[in-house]
Amino acid sequence: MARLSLKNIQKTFGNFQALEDVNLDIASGEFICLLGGSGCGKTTLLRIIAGLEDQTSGEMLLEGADLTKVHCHKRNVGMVFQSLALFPHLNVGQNIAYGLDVRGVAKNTRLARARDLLEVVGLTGLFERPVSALSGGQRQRVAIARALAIEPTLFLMDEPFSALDAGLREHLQIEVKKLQRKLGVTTIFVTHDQNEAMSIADRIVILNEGRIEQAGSPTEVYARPQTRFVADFMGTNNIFSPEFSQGGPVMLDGVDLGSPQGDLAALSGKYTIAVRPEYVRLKPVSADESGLIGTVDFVRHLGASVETELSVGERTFIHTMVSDRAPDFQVGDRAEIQFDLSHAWVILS
Amino acid sequence: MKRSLVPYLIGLFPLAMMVVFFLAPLAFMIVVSFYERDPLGFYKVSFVWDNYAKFFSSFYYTISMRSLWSASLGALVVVLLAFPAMYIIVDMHRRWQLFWVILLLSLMCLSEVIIGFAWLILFSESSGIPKFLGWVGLWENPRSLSPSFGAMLIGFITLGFSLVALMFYPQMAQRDRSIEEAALTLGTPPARVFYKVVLPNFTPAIVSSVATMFVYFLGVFVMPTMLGRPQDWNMTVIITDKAVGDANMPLGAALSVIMLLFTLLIIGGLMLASRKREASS
Amino acid sequence: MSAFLKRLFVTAIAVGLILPFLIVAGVSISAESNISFPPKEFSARWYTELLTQKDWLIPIRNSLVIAAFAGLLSVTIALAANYVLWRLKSGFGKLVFALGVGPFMLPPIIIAMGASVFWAEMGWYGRAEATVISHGVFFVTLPLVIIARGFAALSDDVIEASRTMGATPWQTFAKVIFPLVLPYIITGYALVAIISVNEYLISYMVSGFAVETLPIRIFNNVRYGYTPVVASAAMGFAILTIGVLLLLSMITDLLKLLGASRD
Repeated sequence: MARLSLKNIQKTFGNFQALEDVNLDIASGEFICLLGGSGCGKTTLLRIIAGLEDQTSGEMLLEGADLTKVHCHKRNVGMVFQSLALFPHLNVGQNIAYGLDVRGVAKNTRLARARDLLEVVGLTGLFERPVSALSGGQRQRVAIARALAIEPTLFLMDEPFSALDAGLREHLQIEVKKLQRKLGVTTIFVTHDQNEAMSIADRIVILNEGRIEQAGSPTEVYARPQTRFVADFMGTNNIFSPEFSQGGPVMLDGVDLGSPQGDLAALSGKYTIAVRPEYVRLKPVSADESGLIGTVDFVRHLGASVETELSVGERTFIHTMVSDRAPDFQVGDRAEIQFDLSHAWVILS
Repeated sequence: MKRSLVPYLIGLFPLAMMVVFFLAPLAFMIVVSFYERDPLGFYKVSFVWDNYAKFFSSFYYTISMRSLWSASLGALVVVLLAFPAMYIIVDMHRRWQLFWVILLLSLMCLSEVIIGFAWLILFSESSGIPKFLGWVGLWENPRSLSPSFGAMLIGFITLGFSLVALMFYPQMAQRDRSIEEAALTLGTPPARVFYKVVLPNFTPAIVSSVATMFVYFLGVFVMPTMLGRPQDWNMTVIITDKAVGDANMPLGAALSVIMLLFTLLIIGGLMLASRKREASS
Repeated sequence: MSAFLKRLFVTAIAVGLILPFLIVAGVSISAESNISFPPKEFSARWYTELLTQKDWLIPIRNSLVIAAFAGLLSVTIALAANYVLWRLKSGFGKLVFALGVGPFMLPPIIIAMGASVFWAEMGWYGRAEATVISHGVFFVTLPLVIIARGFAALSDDVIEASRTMGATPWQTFAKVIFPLVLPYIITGYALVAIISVNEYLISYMVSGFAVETLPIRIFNNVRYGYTPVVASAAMGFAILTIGVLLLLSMITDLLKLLGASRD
């Protein structure tokens, strides 16, 4: 049985539909990332799960029991806020012990537990420190420890690392992931950064305009985005709609792109397909000028790889190749673009 | 060279204005407090402690205690009302917030004389609350509610409310609300969030606004004279009475100097306390 | 606290703050010569008296003139102090600024007493100019703080852009800074003017016996037996004050100006 089930969750603010018909089952111990741009409803969904916001309609079940009527302070969720929301009037230890304090846990027990958690997040010795005297990374850890101190049923994080610099952010991502594995706590993490989602989630749920576009493991979502939105969001750049004729040559604007492979072979008519930039090949233009000929608009050297942007009429294609094997094309050069159609897939646009 | 001098030259103007017309009068007031009274003019140049000696009499002791009592009670009540009110108001619809801001600004600007007069009418037996209570039959023999200590205190509160409320407004509106949400998710019942996290975080602001109001109410003149009985009059009324009524400027100045010292003591104490708080954190 | 109790609490306070003025409004349009409420007959006679009789018109004129000049003086000091603080961002600027905040921290009676002995010594005791200067200096705190918000909103980029295009500091001030802080200047001016019109104690102790302002007139009237003209004067005041503030709320974002905006 799923730990948390969301059924037909809707949320409107006045005329604005923040969430429409969200269905999601989350397994016990799973690490879920809600991923999407600003205003996609990811934070609203998290706040509904926490009980800080009521859904307009729909059901929420925690291990089969209705969660909707349970007030926020009874839900036993540990939440890390975007602003962290550490209590400025309490020191580090008191912050972590706060949730146990309001639960009436004896002083010695709660202080001991706070010390344990401080050790878990690697801040041993900072117990008496006022929170204003902490660095950005330390504050994150205190917020995490505070949320975990109550042994939450659900661990919720709302873009907790967005204010940190890249290095520290990656470091904390790894730490959080390890900690979550160790504790086995069911976790929902909100982010707008697909790299962050890729590196920590067991399952990524991509939201767009209040709807779930796709949910799946990081590899699934990366390798096989199902919709145009997800494909764009995950950085799949070559999306186009050629004609198929049941195994016959795939034609784009009258140009033969070769024979379809795999699932594509059965198609007939016009379909939108996607090919990741790493499955594009560039070749010098042959003497008879056959194939898809593009003009190089831009070359980006990204260190490990080289990214080449080409245009064919109105269309743009991206090619990536590890640096030492990249063909040497300059801006303005013409090249023949070939797609590895065995790595192409159909998406819904 | 010349460019860097210009701001200093411009700065001389506000500096001179504040020194000559704000600091110098205060300094001169201290000087005059040692002068002697001149029944024919303002004062005679001299150096006597008589004016201060007068303060240490049972009359001024009573007045001082009375001033401290009314000012501290007023300050406490006004902050106790304004703080929760602003906590509620900042979450209201923008239109209502604007209503409140204009109401508060109007009251802040409006003369003590007008506010006092309005309450005077409302407390009078011919047109205010007593008349209404008599009319509905709740009070058989209605009489004017002012002058009285209570009437004066209500005058104080109406006067101070707008100031405190407007002081709390920005901090209250800009506070990080996720702190309260964090308290909720950690298990604090909604009714206790205010006491558990809002109040403790605003303690410094509350203490400093109580002190500000206390100092302000010490110097209020119109409310005690309009709404209070003679036995409610505070030091300010006495100072004005001595300085203008009896034309005894040296005595008025001496009493003001004592009040000034007392005020500076409070402000200094507050600053020290806040510095200590910062140092400990 | 439930939502209902919250609303009840806030509404009760609003009623307590507004009710006295409703009664005054009622009295001011009553036809009777004794102050009474509710009015049995309505008439505008007290307003006519207020605006035609010399012993009311002179205090009104005095108050308005003092307020107009006090506002000007106050805003000039506040603008100069803010400009200096903004240019120098250090010691001298801070000193000037701190001096400007001073008057707000002292009880009004001390300031009034100081002003009284000072002007007596200077020989301006009883002159309207003395009241103008005292008001202008003592109310400087408000425009100082408000104009500071205007300067805080100025980005250095805008100024540097103006400089790189060849503007002198004076041209930059006149063409860029001044227009940008103008709304704050107007607000500061309006507030000082309204407070000056309403102020009693300083006016009374500096020049009260010679220059009667409206609050002094009302106070004396109330103290020594009063007629409903006082009510009409009080209403006139209240309406003027609220009118100016409403006007301000139209030209500037008052909520933002008071620092309530969260963005």
